[in-house]
Amino acid sequence: MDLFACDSMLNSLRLVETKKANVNWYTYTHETRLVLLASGLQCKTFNGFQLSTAGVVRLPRFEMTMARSESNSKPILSAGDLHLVTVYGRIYCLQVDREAMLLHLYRFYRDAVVQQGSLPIYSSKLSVNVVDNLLLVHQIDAKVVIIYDLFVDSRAPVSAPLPLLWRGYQGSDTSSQAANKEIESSESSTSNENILMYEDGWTFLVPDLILDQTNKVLWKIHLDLEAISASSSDRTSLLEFLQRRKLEANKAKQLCLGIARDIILERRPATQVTQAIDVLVTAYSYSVKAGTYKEIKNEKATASTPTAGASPDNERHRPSGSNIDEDVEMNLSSGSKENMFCANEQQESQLSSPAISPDELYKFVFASVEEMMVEESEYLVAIITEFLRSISAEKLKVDLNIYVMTIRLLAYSKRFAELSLFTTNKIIEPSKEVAFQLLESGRQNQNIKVRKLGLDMLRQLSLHHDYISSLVQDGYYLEALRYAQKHKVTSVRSSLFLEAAFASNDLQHLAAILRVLSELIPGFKETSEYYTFYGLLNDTSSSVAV
Amino acid sequence: MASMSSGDESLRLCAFDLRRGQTEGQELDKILFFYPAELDLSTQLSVIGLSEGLITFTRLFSPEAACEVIEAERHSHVFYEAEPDIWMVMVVEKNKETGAIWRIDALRRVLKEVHSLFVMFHGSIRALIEKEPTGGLTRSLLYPFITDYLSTFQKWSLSEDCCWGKMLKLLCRMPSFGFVQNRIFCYLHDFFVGKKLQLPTFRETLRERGTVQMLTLARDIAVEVQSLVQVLDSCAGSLRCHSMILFQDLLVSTTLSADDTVDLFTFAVMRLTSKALSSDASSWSYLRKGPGSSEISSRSTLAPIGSIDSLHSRNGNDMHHVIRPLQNDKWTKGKDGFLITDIWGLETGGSPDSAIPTIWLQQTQERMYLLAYQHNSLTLLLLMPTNAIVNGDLSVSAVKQQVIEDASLRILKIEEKISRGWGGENTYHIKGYRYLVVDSDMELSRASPSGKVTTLAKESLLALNQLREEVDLEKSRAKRQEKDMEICIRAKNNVWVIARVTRGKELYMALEKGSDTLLDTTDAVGRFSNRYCSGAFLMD
Repeated sequence: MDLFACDSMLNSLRLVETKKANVNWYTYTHETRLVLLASGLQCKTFNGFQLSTAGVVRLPRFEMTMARSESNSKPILSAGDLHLVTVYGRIYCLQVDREAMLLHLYRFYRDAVVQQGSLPIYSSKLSVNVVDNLLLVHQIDAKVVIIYDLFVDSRAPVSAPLPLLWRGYQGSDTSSQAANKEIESSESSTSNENILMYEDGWTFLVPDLILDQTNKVLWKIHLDLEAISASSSDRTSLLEFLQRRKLEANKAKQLCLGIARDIILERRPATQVTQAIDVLVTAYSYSVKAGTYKEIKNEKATASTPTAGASPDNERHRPSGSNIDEDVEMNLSSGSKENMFCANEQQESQLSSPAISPDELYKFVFASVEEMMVEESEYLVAIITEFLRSISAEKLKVDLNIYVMTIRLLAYSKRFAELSLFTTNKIIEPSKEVAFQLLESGRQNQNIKVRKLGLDMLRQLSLHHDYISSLVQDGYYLEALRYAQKHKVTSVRSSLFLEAAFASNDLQHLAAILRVLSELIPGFKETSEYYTFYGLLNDTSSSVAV
Repeated sequence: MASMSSGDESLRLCAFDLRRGQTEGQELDKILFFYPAELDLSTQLSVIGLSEGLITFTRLFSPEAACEVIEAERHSHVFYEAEPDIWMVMVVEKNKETGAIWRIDALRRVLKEVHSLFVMFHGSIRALIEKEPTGGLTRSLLYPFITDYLSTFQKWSLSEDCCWGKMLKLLCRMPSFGFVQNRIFCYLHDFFVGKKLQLPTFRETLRERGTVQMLTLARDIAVEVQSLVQVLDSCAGSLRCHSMILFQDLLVSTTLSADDTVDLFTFAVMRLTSKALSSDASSWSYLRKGPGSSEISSRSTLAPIGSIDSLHSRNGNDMHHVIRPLQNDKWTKGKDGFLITDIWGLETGGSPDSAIPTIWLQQTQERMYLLAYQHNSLTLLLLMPTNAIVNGDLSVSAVKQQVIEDASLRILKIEEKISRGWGGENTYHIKGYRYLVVDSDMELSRASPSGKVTTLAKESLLALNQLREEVDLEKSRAKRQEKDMEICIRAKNNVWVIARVTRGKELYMALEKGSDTLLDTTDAVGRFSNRYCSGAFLMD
């Protein structure tokens, strides 16, 4: 057979190259730009050509494995048994082996074709779609879909087999939780009840379209991430899975936050939670490095519904525009609606990655569970420690409020030894807010040591004014004044020192303070304060003298 | 014999109960402990009688705080009321020529330390006496405990400065001496070497007993350590454990209260850390490993009790196995990384958990099992409430397994990271300074490495020692009130000795820079404070 590799220019075909090969049949998808030529008795020997801008790249010849049937007749591979897909930028060829009931995976590298495992199949009729880098294997006889994520080495399905459901584009209203996919079409509103899943007339088009000849519609496959996460029990790999989703980044993000919150509230073992946090933090760190994570300007808008995605009830309140837009855009027959959603779409598409920043994790996970977990502060502290470790390992920063919260929790459970270790080792990063929380916790627990930690922190941060005021509050007015003198701080109200000294009934101190203040503050001697206390001093001392 | 027993007079240490032995003829009942035990009872009684008299007398004027110290011409008597009416008194000889110059508070801290350790292992003396009113149990515990404790002050300097050492060496070389040699060793051990106690003199003025020395960690390692602590704390499932981590002889982390941390830290540095374990294998180990050590125990345990017992005609039936937690050379590292000891019995005998060390926590009054795990220089102590294990909620071996499974990899990594950043024993040396910083709130201290302190002239150390004595006095006068103090003295040999006390933090320093003016010195201290104490000590 002759193969013509052609180049289309304008309306004419020009013969570029002719290659001779024995070919039984061929398969080609535009998405992969790959032509596979089958040859041999069983049609299992393949030659591949990839069309690229640089010309035609010839792939090495390779054989596919076929199990022998019992009757010893050699099965022949047909073009329908072969699917070419692109997942995460990699090209795979999927081959159905009906005898072994396996779907073999071949990955195309630049110079090699490598078999990368097989997936079990449960139906003689099989088709394949790809949505958001996920491999969807339709077990047509069983009318279910099994989803695989080829990113991970494990060939286990992402979730249990899920049914394919129809869902209108106002989908959220009619959605059922078992839904795995939404198939949407503008015309479907008229005939939605009559549609049968997996009709004979369906033609599956790679990547994610289904041509329904019976109903004369084109379906687009959609993932229902919520349903998938609901049917998956391994939270860590689920989070990894969700973090890799690009199409519905916002939804994936909300789901991730919900999961993170839930595992903490469910008081899962710390190791499990740690793994989950590690997944989220590393995914964020990676996406920052890769530049996919963008700080969203309208963060407030999404932030205002922190519980969205946590429970299905909230679903309808969530701006679920993204799925709608995608459909409209892809829908051939509803061009008119495109404009309507344009504005919305632009806003939503800013969220190109489901990555969650440490600040968001703090805000939507830790801060939101704090109140409910206050009785289990030890557990929460353990989780926060792991969070801080994870962040520190990735060299990221986090909202200082998490430190304030950590102090609150440690003080609540009276773990002062650790509180002091956290502070002195700077695990809790010093800041004014943190120092004030230490002062406050020290006051509440009547723990002078904790209070001193706060004072020390204020001093180290050179927050002279606050340091001096707090010292006076604790009754160390002389030391405070000495510090003020040394650092030339005049902003602290002079009456604070004077009143403190007067209250302690120490006239010597009062006199000393008056002298120091008049040196420190220009024109202090002219103030009424000076007169008042100077008068007091004279009165009292004279009365003593009398 | 006579020449040797002269060592006897250098130290006397006793513990007695004021409430006991109030009737005539029953005086001996007061004595809970006396060192040296060999001293005749009348001398023992006279020491205790004098102490008791002074306590009663001074209480007339100061009911809250009775006598603290008597300075006689040749001796100092240091008093410490360990528990209500339980007093410990230490009598030390003063001798300027031999360098027996003491700081009273340092000596009192020795008493405090041995008592705290005792309470940590056996519970309070008061409680023991209430449990067993004859006092026999208390005595049988106190004698070996304090004797073992004092053995840490023994200086193994035989070969250097005594003829007995030379003779010993000679004996060792004689092959025919095998049997006799052993006998002589224990004899010497007990009567000579054992008496050569080196209490903290002025040379240790830049140390603070009863405080913890901490390792300064970089933030990232500190976070990892805390994460490890969380893992350790949850090794017993839902039951929260306590833990303490040491690197060499420095504290890395703790979840215990400050007081409990100090006690456990002191014990760990004495007996458990990698240094403590390796020093057991020092050149003198053969001496200690001989039958001598067991003999000393039986001697010091039984002799005095025997004498008292005979007075009270008590039956010796309850002279059961006495646990000696401070016994030296009893800990070894097991194959699984956990430290093992037979002090609490053998694991084969009785219930499997009975052989596991237990301690009391001061703060919670809880009894805890103590597990120690060691990887190179890193020592991890894990404490689990005993009642949880007795109730069968938990098994120690399961916890051990859990530690190995969950934490051993992290321990490995952390040890590696800390070791890599560790600058050796002179890490905290600061050039030009000989210093001691004490944080009495946190019960922490940091000082110049001892190797560097020894470069100070004797006069400098004496001057600093005297200054500290003054500061101690001032502090005890100020009592609860936190006082600010700043003293700079130029001593005879042109050394500047400095003391700075501010709100629970103390700084002592010797600067041997005679040419410096007072202003230079203050500047130097100010720089030190800003750089290494985060400006805690404000200098004008």
